[in-house]
Amino acid sequence: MSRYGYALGDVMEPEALIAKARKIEDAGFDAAWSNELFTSPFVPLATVAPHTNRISLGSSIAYGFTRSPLETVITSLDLDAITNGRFILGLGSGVRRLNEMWHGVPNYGRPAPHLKECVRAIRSIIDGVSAGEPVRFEGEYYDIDMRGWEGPHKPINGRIPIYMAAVRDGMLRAAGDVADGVLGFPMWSLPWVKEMVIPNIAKGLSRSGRERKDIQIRAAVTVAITNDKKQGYRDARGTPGFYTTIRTYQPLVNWHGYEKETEQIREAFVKLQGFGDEVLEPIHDEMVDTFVVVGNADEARARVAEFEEHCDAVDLEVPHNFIPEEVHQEYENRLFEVFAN
Amino acid sequence: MKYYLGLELDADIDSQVAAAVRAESAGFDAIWSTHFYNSPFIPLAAIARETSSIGLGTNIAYAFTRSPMETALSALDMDAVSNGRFSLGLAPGFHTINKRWYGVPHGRPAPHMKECIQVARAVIEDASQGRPVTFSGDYYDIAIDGWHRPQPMPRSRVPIYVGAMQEGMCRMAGDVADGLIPHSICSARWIKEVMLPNVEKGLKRSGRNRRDFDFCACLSVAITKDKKQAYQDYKDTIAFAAVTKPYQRLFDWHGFGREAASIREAFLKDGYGPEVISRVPDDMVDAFTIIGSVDDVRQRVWEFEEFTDSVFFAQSSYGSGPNVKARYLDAIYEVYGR
Repeated sequence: MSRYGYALGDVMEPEALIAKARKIEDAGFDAAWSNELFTSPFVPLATVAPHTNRISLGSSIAYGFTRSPLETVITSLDLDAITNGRFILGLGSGVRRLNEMWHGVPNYGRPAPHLKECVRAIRSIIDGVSAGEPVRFEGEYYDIDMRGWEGPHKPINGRIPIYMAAVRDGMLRAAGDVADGVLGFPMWSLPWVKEMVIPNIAKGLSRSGRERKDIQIRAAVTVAITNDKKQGYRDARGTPGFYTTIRTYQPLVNWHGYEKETEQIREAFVKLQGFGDEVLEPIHDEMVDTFVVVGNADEARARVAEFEEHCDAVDLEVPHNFIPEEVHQEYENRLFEVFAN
Repeated sequence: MKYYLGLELDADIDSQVAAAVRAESAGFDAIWSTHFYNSPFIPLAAIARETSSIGLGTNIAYAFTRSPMETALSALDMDAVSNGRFSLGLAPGFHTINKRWYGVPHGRPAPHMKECIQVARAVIEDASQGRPVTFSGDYYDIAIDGWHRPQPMPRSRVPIYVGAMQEGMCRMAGDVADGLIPHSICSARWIKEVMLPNVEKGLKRSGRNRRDFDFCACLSVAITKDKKQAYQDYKDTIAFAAVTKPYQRLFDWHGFGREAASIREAFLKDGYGPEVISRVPDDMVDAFTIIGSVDDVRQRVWEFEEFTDSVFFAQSSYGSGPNVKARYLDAIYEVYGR
């Protein structure tokens, strides 16, 4: 059976949040994800935990460097307890600017080695305290020396799965080295999955003596199900539009041969000092097709299935940038109808 | 007068939820989480769903182990899921724990705390509304622009408390916080002579009045007929604080410097155990706890109520075992529950 995940979204009102989690569980999906931007990644998961009983509840993602590894550990152990072992700790580096300017992170460093070390430090602490042993971890970014803290609760299943969000080759290899799973990025196209994601994860796995089955690869695919394809393309432009304005992701966009479009989008963004129609103007249907699935129910199923040939699960999204909320809601409703297991 | 209870340091989350539900039905004003074995936030998030009126706070969350914006996001989320019942209590924690366990900087505690609170508050109150926040200090250099909180907020601000004992931290709390919760190893004299005058100085600095501030007394209370046993049970509470060097000054001030040093010496030699606890004399227990009959306790707690705004009933002794702890807690419910 296919494994699909869906995000809890930016709701924080408890009843709405719980309703969303139940909707995801009732659709037969395997995971509900909470992200970190407007909210903490963790509190929403604690809120929905007692109101679901089957799906995994994970952060997708929590920033790795904005709290200390032990802080992440105690939060994870509590969430693991509260979900009865259904918690997945999803970590991502986040972009440098956000780390430094918003969170005041002093040592962003090289994100892939840093996040890899962060995952190892978290594991060392969980393993050490579970065994009742002191923890000593020395790396380039972390220096931890713990005695006298034997956590009273151990992970329910002996271990808390740690996933890493990865976009480009270095982070993909790092995830292959240490992670239990990889969280996809909405701009992973099918060619990117085949030519970058899979081979680089494989490199990481092989150099670390691990196998493909040791890691769960989750694609992230934005799906716009509609019989009005023309409108669908328009509505879906926001996904590539939003990410193309972020410098960190421009190499990925350009890899697909969209240097000209990237340049136009960037220029419009600078000119408008933000988003507007002009920013989305250069995004043509073919570019949308590269990054987003647009089509009727059958086409959508077929194209998502192509990702499933290479990945173990697909976290689904619907267009949400720069479109009215009711339109977003219609796409979400159709997605749940078509992909419910 | 408000009455507060704390969650147990080493209870599983289901028991913590049950404790909070009980505290709410008995009319206590707030229940406070700890940050040691548990996250300060996650158990409270679970409690928020099962309660509807009791205040929920952290007493305390370490301040330096996550970025101020992370702290602010958790506080905003907690206030949302509790429908405006959350209070954010912060304290620096200890140098060793910050440096060695958490691997985070531990600056001069009061100035570092002050900056941390200022940034967290700016995120909660200003950045959330889309107003840019810039902050340039000794510990934080922050520029938040282009972020806002789209979710409706139950309140425009979240009360911030400080866990404090010493002069500088008390002044800082008076300057930037909404309340203060001391350590339970505390006396009426220390509060009146050291803490309150400094809180007042801070309040004056920020142009506020004493009534703008929730000064809480944190008391170790044993309501019992068997005073002798209670003294024995609470020796552990005193010893647990005395082995920690930063509290030496407090014990010196109260005239128990020699005893505290001897307790720590035993701890450093053989680790924490019966020998350490046996070095706590009865009069040292008496100085920092309230032990006695219902009337005695009421009278002595009332003496604190004259100059504080709330009373926090601290957890009974760590080492006395669950049954003994439960008995002391039941007695507090009987006398102070409504």
